[in-house]
Amino acid sequence: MKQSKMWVWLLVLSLGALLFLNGAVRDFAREAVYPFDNACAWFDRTVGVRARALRVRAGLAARNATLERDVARLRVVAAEAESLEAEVCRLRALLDFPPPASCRWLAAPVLARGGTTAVWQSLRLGKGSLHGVRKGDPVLVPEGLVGRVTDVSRHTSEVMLITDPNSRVACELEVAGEGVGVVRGILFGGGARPASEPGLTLLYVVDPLRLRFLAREFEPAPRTRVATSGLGQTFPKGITVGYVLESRLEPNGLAREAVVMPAVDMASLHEVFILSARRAHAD
Amino acid sequence: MRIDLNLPSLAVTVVTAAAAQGQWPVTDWLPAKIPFLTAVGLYYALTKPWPVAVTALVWAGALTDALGGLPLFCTLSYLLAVYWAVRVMQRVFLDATLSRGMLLVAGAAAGQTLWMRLWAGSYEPLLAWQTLAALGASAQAGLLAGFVVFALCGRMDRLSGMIRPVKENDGILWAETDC
Repeated sequence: MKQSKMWVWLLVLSLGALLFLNGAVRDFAREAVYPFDNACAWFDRTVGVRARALRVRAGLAARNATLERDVARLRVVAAEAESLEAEVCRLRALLDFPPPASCRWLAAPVLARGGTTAVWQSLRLGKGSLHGVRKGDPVLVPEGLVGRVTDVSRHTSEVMLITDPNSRVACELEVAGEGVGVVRGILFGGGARPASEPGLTLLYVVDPLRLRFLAREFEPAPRTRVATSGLGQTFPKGITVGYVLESRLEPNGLAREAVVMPAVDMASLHEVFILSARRAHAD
Repeated sequence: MRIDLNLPSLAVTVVTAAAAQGQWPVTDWLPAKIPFLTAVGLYYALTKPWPVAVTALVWAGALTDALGGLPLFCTLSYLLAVYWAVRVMQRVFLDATLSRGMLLVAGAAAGQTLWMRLWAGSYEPLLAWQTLAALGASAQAGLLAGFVVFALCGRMDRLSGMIRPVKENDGILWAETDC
């Protein structure tokens, strides 16, 4: 009888917490599974990586030779890049272009993908408010833009990927040629497939992104690079987002819409960088 | 004073299930998350007295919503509706055997996918191929989750003495023989 009473009280307390402490319950839930998530990530980093290394050991010698050739080639490329970097620095100084000194990189491990439901395209990262992460911080990898932080607890943060149907990013096309000017648009995350593509399709296949509201007269070439324009105030200018596959006029005929393939393979992310703004009180 | 082992058992089971569900990747061959939390909730619904069962369902639903980016009462309301249906069915035929548990979780998981899509404002019509494929995948994932949870939790409960392995007899269910 006493135990039954205890359970009824526990139930009432649980429901009360859900009703009145909505945000705290979410934080508590993430913090409760954090040790497990962290242990899985650690296991993957230490044991999983070694197990995979053992599996591919047979092909390592041939791979080593290939890599040595690549290293030699990349040394040449790096030397060229150094000279280009110097040139860029000089030109930036001429233009009085402010460097992103107000930001810092924060490397974070990917703990889980898609939450517990996989309804949204999201990631959970192993860095939180304790490390200086704030809502809205951009998340990147060297290949390009991944998404932005939408929720933060002490040790973890939730990232909405640019492939999520709710994602919007202000972008521009990297267009070569005279007299074209800047071509800007808004990048929409993947969503429902158009009705013109019937048939059985696998779930959770990332739909290509859509760059909408482009100037109707300009038809971008396939493989044109799409980068952030910085106009949305969330992402800095110039981060690669993806590449144009094709373009067409929007149904209303007022603007052009391009289909864009993300530059980053979201399914194979293990570590990402959070571009966190430097804050005096946090540092 | 006797310690109620249900509380630590429930806490550990629910948190472990949440972590496992979050970690399980969505793959081409099983394009859905394995609903361990739903399975845990339904296991408790079938085997424990109502205060314990409802607490388990509340925690399972809250964790699913909190870690899945859904409104906090989305899954919880669905699980409570399923619990009511389970109690009704329990009087007729349903017991906590492995096979029936698997079927129950498979059905509940498919319904849950549909429910979540409605809450999330899904664009696809209900009878589209994509929706049907999603329900099929969720049912498969539910079978797997039901097998794992009913096998492990059943064994754990019997080892800890929380449930006596008594076969249903004369209308006496496991839930009523809980000690």
